[in-house]
Amino acid sequence: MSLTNTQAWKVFAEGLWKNNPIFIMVLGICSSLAVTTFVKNAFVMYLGVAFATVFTSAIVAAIRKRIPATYRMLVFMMITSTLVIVFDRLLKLTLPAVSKEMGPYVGLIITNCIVMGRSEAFAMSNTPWLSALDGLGVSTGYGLVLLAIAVLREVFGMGTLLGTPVMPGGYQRCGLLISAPGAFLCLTVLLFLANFIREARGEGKK
Amino acid sequence: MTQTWRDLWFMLVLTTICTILLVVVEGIYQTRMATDPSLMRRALQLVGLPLGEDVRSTFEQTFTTVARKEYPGSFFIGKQNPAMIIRQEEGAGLWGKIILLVAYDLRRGAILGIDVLEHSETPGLGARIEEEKFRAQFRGLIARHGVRAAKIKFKEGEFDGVTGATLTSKAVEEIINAAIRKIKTVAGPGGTP
Repeated sequence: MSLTNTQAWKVFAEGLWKNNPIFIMVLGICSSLAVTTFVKNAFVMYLGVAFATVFTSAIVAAIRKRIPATYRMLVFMMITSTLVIVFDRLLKLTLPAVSKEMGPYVGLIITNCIVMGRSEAFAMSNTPWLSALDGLGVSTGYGLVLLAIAVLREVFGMGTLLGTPVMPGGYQRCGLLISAPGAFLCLTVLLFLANFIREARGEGKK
Repeated sequence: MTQTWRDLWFMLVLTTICTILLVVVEGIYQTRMATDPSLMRRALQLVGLPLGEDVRSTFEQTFTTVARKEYPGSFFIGKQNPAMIIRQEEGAGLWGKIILLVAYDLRRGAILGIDVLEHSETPGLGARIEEEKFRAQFRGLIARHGVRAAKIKFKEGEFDGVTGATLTSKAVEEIINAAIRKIKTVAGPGGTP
């Protein structure tokens, strides 16, 4: 059995394209617009969301039979908040400068719908191992889109990539891309491309 | 045991675990931050002292770190000039915690400078407390009885708030006043510690 045929891989890969949180579910838009001016920040955001989603999903799956149905949202929130605060503290200790640039958006991972959505939709009815993989897949799908937007914005808006200049001298920076509406433009273009490819491949039809 | 009681127990146990975890993390974070070299660097820069080759050793030569049971956090007291005291003080801002570093000269009753360590104020408005222009007005500001955010300055200890960020300016005022109050309690009779 090849790797791509296992159930684990299927669960992981589902979040990358077929069920991409930004392209298909259109979740996590707020943060994908806010932290994508630099590739570095987008990557840290990806790490944070991946950390929160993977562990929340795994923990929720591990205790899913005991979680009271009435309070399940509360339980998700509590686990996510604890994890996000831990991540925020780790980030402040290891990368204080990045943590400062990210501002409140690390804390806002708590309210990121992707985290809660995966707990509710997947982890409540699957094993911890599969749920962790599902969380990793979905957050990686989110992270890739985040990185794509960030590369577009940093290269064309600032003329740099990861802080090093990549554009030829005399390049006129596109200030629009760095401003908030620029993020919308990038996201729209990517969304259009994704749907175009999907259409061309005949996917997504009921 | 009925379902309700079982649910209640579950929530109680989960909350307790989360709380303990957070307390432990926060404890580690606070102790690590207290000895953070970047804090030492900023404290030295705040009072305009050279950093030297090794920030930590320069800091330890310049300041004694004093803790007071009634106030969490440390006071940094100048070794050569014990009237110079730096206090890290925090308070509630508009959106989150604001942490300031306040350097105060007890002998002159003047603020030596402030530095903003942490804040999550509105970008473009309250966040401007970070800017050098805002912080510079505190350098040498006489404030024997604390400071006050004012539109027009005509009394001692008054400073220009940030326009459009009244609550942030008020928060900064309160934090600085708390720092000065605590610094004064560290001082012994005669104004020096």
